[in-house]
Amino acid sequence: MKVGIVGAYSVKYELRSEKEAWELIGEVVRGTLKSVDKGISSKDIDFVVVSNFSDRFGGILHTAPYVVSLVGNPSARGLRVENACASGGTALYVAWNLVRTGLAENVLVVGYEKMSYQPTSAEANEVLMAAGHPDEVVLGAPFVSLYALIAKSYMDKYGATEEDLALVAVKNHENGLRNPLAAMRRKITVEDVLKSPYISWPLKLYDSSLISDGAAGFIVSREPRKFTDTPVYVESVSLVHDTPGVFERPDITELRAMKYAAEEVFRASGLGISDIDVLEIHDAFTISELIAYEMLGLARRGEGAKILREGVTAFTGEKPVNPSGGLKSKGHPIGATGVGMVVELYWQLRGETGDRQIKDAERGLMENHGGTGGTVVVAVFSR
Amino acid sequence: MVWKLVTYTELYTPVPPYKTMFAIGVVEDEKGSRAIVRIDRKYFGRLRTGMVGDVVDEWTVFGTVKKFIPKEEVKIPRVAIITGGSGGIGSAIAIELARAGYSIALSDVVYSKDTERTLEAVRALGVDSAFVTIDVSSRESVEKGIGEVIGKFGRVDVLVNNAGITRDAYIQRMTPEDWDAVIKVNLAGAFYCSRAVVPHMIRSGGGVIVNISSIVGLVGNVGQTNYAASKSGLVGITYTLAKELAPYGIRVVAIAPGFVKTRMALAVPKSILRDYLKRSPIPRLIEPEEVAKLVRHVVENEALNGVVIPIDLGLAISSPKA
Repeated sequence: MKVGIVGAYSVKYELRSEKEAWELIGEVVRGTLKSVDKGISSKDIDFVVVSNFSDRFGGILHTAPYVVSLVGNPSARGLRVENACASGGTALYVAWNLVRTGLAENVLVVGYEKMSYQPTSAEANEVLMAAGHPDEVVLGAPFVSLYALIAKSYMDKYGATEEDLALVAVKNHENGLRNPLAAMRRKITVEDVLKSPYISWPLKLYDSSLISDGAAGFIVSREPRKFTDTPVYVESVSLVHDTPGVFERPDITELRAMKYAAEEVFRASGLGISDIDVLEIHDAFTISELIAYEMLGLARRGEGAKILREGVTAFTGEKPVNPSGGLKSKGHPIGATGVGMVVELYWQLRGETGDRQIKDAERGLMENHGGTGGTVVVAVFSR
Repeated sequence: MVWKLVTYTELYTPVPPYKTMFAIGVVEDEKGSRAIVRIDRKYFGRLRTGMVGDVVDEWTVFGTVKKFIPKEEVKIPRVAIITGGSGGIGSAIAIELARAGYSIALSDVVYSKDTERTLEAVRALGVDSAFVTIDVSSRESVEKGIGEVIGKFGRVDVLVNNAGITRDAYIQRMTPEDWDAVIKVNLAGAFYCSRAVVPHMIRSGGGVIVNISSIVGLVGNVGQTNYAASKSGLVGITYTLAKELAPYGIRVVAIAPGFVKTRMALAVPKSILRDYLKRSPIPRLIEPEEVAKLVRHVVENEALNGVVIPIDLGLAISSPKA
């Protein structure tokens, strides 16, 4: 028995959506159910998992019964999951386990966040800050600063430069130009990034992902062929934790949980990084994509920027990373982010992504992490 | 216990609840224990990996925060720019801030004998000084001048928007040129100068902007529509920037002097000046040095922000209003 994804939907991510959180949820529930090739009935959905970080990003809680009512199957069960920015990946992890253990037949996963519910990015950052270690929260350290601590350490240790970081942003923005669902479809240059103001030195505005509104959904099924002839199979999903505080880690430049999660997923699926054709990686800040290359086995330690410069991870490269534009250009509506990564890979592996289609993509990998890597979800999919 | 700085960042984006800038570091003691710490923004640009220091607990209403204090003493020469600094109130402010230990960037539209005298007095106090030609009514001139100050001193801690002119006339006789000239120097000048120094103040961890308004800006004065409007405008700038810039460690305060013994006040016809002083509870002119002392207090007292402080011998509370 191989668990598969049989339907997926995403709204266009926006910096400031006119829609309320519940309207975004409604659109995604309808869109996801409708996307199933052979159709799926309300009663087929027996479980829903909602991914959302905070009610301060949308103003609602207790969304499982709302989603169940939108689905139209009163016997369905549901719950909401929260693991900071890895909430979406966590929802996949929960749905996959429910289905493969026989606790559910078909699980609808919905992720959403309406971050513009907060009036300014400073206030949005305050909400996000709660996902740090208690010492970091009391100190008043926003995530950009925590990643800046990692970036400074990484630059000290491996001699990486601000330009190396800028190249991640430039690549992902270029990819985002091909994605009509991306929140910011704007080409940027290395110079643009370097000239953008420092938010938390050495990280600048253009090193940061977009505070945005968005929602996405997919359906995980125990009998995928019943609903489509071209499902995308979930090979394996791993969820690993690290100490939540950056300061507690022996090597600040390492995102350990990501390395362990990747190893676990590859071990369980019998696949390796060489088998992967396309990747969606959590580029919350440019530094996280560079380190992810190394944790996932795309590059040796300290050589993340080298493979980026060589074009390995470019759209036309050997291992394209973030053809969707990533969190940097597509956007980062927290609860929707990991769900949206699954949706992108579902479309990529079915060959449905138009201009941004990675040719002959058979296997995809997602990496979605929360906090500064306190929770990491890595999953591998195949067609 | 000796703590060593392992990594650090300077946070330029104030985030609630603290709404202020500071540096954040990870420190390690001899045994390898780690902590995340806050570091005062005065160390911006001066932190280095491997720096040693102490860690102390600091109480805040949001919880107890660990603070890292580098052992290395950081001597930072602070810099003040005074526009219209050659004579009058500006000269007195330059001298008073020099007395407080500030390096002085004296600016004016031309270099005059007054400039020379002020610079001599400043130098006699043993501080570094420079003259920069700035026509505050021109954005280009302001940006060039502030660039020169940064080039010489590397930072700006205090900006005193003091440059001002009068073109008095009753409204029927006040020409649009009179209006424009006064608004451009007194009001647009303060805007251009503030705008130019803010990024530098943010980079060096904050600063103070002092706007020299006038009691006339609060209560009005016959024959000074343009001047009163410009000085009221400075009050609006003060209130707004005090809100906007507080998170970046920049305080903005206005001072509203009454009649100060300067060439500007003495140019007012004697009969009018006499009549004016008669209404004052203390009927004399204010000394420029008295205004300068208040500017120094505003600069040094970190609790002052977003206020307009009259220094007018009680003129504003007298009745009838001037």
